[in-house]
Amino acid sequence: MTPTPRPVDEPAPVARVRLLWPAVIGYALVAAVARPLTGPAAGAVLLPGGALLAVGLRRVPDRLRQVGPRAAVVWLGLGVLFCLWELGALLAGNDEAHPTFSIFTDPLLDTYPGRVVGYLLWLGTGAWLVTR
Amino acid sequence: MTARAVITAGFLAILLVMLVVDVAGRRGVGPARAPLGEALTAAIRTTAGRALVLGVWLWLGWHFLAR
Repeated sequence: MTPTPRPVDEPAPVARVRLLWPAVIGYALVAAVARPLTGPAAGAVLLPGGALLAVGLRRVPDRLRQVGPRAAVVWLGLGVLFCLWELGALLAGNDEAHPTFSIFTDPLLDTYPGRVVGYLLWLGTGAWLVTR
Repeated sequence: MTARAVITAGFLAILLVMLVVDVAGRRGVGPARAPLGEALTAAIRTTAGRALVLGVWLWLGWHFLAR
């Protein structure tokens, strides 16, 4: 028997949400100790990343939402535009005179509080995606 | 105007447009008429969509936090 999807605006079960977000915050506080370009940082990303990817690929979203082709074209177009702009900066030099988006974020992610924010945004987005 | 200023202005402009389209989408107006969250929720309805969105998400984490 196929489970009935929850309506789009219905919140996820309270117990799951209660456990998920403190876990995301706790993980961000610990994972941010690892500096980029180190083994621990790679593990800190790949461990939850792989787990959420595996869960997300298997799980059919409860909240079924359809948007028109117009929305898809606009959002996809903006994403592609951002990628092309990033690619242009990369090919132009990827240096201080021709900065990619990473060069702008590097000073922030070099600090512990900045990495905590980075992990919160990234892991929070992943958790949000797999709980749709 | 330096190349740095042009590139910076471009990033800011794209992000600003995304913000405006998202806010407008929450009100059911604007070019997309749907916020980014709704578009992503729609995109992950299919296996291919989930693979694409989650793959991009994983790459972003790797690129910004680990590499």
